[in-house]
Amino acid sequence: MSALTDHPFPQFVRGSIRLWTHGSRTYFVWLAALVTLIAVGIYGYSIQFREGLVSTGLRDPVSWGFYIGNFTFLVGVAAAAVILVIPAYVYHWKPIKELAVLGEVLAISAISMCMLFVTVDVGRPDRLLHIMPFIGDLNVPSSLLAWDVVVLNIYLVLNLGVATYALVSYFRGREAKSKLFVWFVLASIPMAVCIHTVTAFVYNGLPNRPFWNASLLAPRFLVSAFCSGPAIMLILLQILRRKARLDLKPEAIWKIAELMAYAMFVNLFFTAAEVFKETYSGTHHLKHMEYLFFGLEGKTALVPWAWTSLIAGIAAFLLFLFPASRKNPVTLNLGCVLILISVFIEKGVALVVPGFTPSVLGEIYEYSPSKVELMVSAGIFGVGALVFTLLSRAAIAVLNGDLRVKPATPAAA
Amino acid sequence: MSPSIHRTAMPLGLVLLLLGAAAAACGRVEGRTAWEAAIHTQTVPPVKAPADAVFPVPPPPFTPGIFPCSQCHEGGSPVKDEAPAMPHKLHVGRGIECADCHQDGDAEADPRIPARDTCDTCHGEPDKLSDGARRYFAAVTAADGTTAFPRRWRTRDVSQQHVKHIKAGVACASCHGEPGDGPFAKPKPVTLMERCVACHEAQAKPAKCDTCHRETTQKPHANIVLNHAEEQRGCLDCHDAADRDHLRLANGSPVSFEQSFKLCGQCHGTQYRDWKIGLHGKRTGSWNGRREYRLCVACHDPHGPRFKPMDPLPRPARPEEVR
Amino acid sequence: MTLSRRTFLKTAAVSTAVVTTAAACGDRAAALREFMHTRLRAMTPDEVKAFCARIEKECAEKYGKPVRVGAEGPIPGVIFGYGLDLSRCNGNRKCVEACVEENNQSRPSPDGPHHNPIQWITVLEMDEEAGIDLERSTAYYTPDKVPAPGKAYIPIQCQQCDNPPCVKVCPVKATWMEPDGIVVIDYDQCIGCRCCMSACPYGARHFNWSEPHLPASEVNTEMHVLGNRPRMRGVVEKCTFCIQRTRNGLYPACHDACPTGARVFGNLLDPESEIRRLLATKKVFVLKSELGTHPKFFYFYSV
Repeated sequence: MSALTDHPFPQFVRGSIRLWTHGSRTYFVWLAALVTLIAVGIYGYSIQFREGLVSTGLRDPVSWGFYIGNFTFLVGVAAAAVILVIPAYVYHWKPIKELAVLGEVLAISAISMCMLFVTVDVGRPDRLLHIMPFIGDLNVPSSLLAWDVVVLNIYLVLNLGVATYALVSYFRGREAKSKLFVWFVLASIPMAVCIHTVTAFVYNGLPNRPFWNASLLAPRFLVSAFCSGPAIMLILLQILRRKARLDLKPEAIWKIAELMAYAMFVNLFFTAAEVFKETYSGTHHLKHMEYLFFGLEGKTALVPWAWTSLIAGIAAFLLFLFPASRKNPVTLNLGCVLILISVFIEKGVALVVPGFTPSVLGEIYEYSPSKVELMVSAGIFGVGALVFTLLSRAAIAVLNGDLRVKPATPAAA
Repeated sequence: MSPSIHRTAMPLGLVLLLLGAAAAACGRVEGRTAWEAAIHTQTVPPVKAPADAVFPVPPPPFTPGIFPCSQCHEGGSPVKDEAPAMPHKLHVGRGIECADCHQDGDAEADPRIPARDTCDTCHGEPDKLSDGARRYFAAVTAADGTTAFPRRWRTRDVSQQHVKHIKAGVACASCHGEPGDGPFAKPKPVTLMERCVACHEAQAKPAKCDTCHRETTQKPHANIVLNHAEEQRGCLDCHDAADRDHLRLANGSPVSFEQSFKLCGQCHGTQYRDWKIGLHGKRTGSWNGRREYRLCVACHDPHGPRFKPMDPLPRPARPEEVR
Repeated sequence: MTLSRRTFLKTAAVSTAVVTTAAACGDRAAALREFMHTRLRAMTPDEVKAFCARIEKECAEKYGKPVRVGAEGPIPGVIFGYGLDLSRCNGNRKCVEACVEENNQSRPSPDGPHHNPIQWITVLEMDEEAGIDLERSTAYYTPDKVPAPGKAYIPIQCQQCDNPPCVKVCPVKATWMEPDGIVVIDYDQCIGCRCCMSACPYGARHFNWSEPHLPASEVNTEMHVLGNRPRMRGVVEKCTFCIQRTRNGLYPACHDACPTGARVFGNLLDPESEIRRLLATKKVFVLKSELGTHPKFFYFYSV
């Protein structure tokens, strides 16, 4: 019995729980804020559960909206963990290696949020088991959404496994280098590409929605994820460095920032290529882009968002382009925030809604998220933040060496 | 970790990803569908109405209550008239001129049936009247003692045109025939009308229905406004002159109202063909069994076949209104 | 061999746990089957019959009158096709009304708690000179009389594609094409993800955003399990060519309701059917043929 409880894993769990329940005042204020957010989300969802999806701004012409937009954005964030994993594990690049664990923690929180966003978006959450692999009758290989569920689940399992194994190894003061572990890590890299590609394919495979039916969509998803994911990481890492005494080497940040600069360039290039193709062709397909950037029939709700996203994206690129500004903490963080805003708008609003506007029958319904949608989304982001807070708290303690396995207890008892 | 692992594992993973996508894309094998193949291999039999089609006869909706037409129209059959005709032959044979009785010298007067006084010039002694004359006088004398054509004799609106015709110098015999030719009192209305039309056409005068039939068009036919190639066509191009309970084809053969589609089909051949094979007009019933075809006139007013504008049903709810 | 108390307890605890877990799993498997058993396509004919009986009972309780829920299968040798004469359609929306009444769609209830009317047929009004330009069309026209001068109309409903994009995107196989070509939905399987609505090029799929409003007095009691049986909140629904009528030999309700006789319906595999006559004698077109959906809904201009 004692052997069981003395095993490093329970020890690790116990240690983590101790960490979660003890902390500074700021920590508890933060926790309280998150719990409030979650409560707001639960309240919002209770309304939606009672009334149906009619309490959202979604209607037949625009049948997906803020929930699915957030889902898409967060899949990108989750995928971006890979950018930290590739150099860390494949090239044994020391400065990033430990941060990769945090990347995986971020991926885990992002995927939890993805799952929640899908859950709140469906009309029959009571039948959600129908879409779970092995329980329901999944329409694979035909349905991309079914694929997406499969790869997201695999990705979640992989990341949980990798992060846990790595943390427990560090916890025990060892290097994480079991053969299986390496295979898991290597598998998680294409899986990261997979989740975002397949998510892109969910949209991409709909020829009736020309706004999405461009082969550049999946590559654009990936590069924008390589912008937004690391941006979140950089901001979080700096916060953690300040608040949680995370040992963060500047080279790591600079390296990430440099990779982001490439990604941003490609992202802008891809966007420009799309804009050129649509505007120069000037077919009906242009309508969607027109709605996004200029509005149609006096309906212009998305216009400010679209331009904000575009301008923020360009500004962030300029800030990251020059080594001087990308190594300056102020401009670096400004750039991160800008690119985050840019990609969040692009994925959360500017991807989904214009795809539906005008609708397949030419109807222009101006969608905007309802209060319920905003509340529920806030709650889900609260859950994600809570997951990240708790997991990263344990992870950082392990990485710092604050949380280490106790030497085997003497067999006195 | 050996570099070889990642060199094999990563491409392997990506290949798997692509295979998945390819599998999703291969859901459909391009080619003819079952029905497309059927269309290309089966020959469609020549046009004829489906064996299980039935042609019902809903009463034409625009003539409620006045069918059959013979309720009013006497048709082409001998006039069923109990009232005796005035024997013009007898009068003319004795040297009496039309104007002696009918006052046609006075163009303002309507030379219809003479007043009783005129007759009384010769027939003043009731005792000497023959039975026929007595019956005749009884038939034309109204309650107030004035004389008038019995209603059934009158083509009223035509009689209103007497003055016009006299002013235009139309001889009595042009319409009424020579008095010696026959009873002359009451030409068969149809025969008369054909004569009217022939003369009007010869004189290049208007010859539409309402040129003469002013009052009657306002009564049972009030709802009939001919708006169906009216430049080329009149009532009797479709309605049988001799038998108003039938229609007539262009070749003169009568056709029943139940078979009116044959009449319509004379001009509207494409629609007729389409209707026979179920591509024109409304059908109800069973797609694989008995189905009822509507007559052309069930949907189209034969006198104005173009569809009238309809009241649309309410619009669907806008998405903004859904709650 | 002595059995220590501790070992005994341990063994007992473990075996109890195993048995309990197994039993629980057995229960759960049964519960799961119960939960999943509404997958119509996996049911045996008897199960389908029982399922229909259950719906009949539920409907009878809910609407206070007897209903019949049929599960008529496809007729062998039949693939349904539809034709619509755009020269004749004058936009009067009689087809829409007949469809709503036949198929138990959610009715308008402007004063009720939920106003979520659903119509499977959308009639679009366009400028005559624009041809068929859906981008410049509206479904919300309200002239005093139709056709309004200079306007043309096109009713759009499920095109019953032979390569239905909605079917392939459904993650849970809740929608499929029947052998007679009708694309149907298993309302008990649908999770309401609305992928099919995103995929449909014709706007033919509609979602029950709130509780459908179907007054008992307006219920059509002749139902089909894949067709017009009442739907629940949170699922998608669509035109089924009136599966409850057509599989029993009748024309669809919209066909019979059209006052201008613009609609043609029949079996695509029968060379003497009306729809095949149409294909043989008229030039037809399908909507958005460039998408490769192969609709079985043909539009034509007779004049």
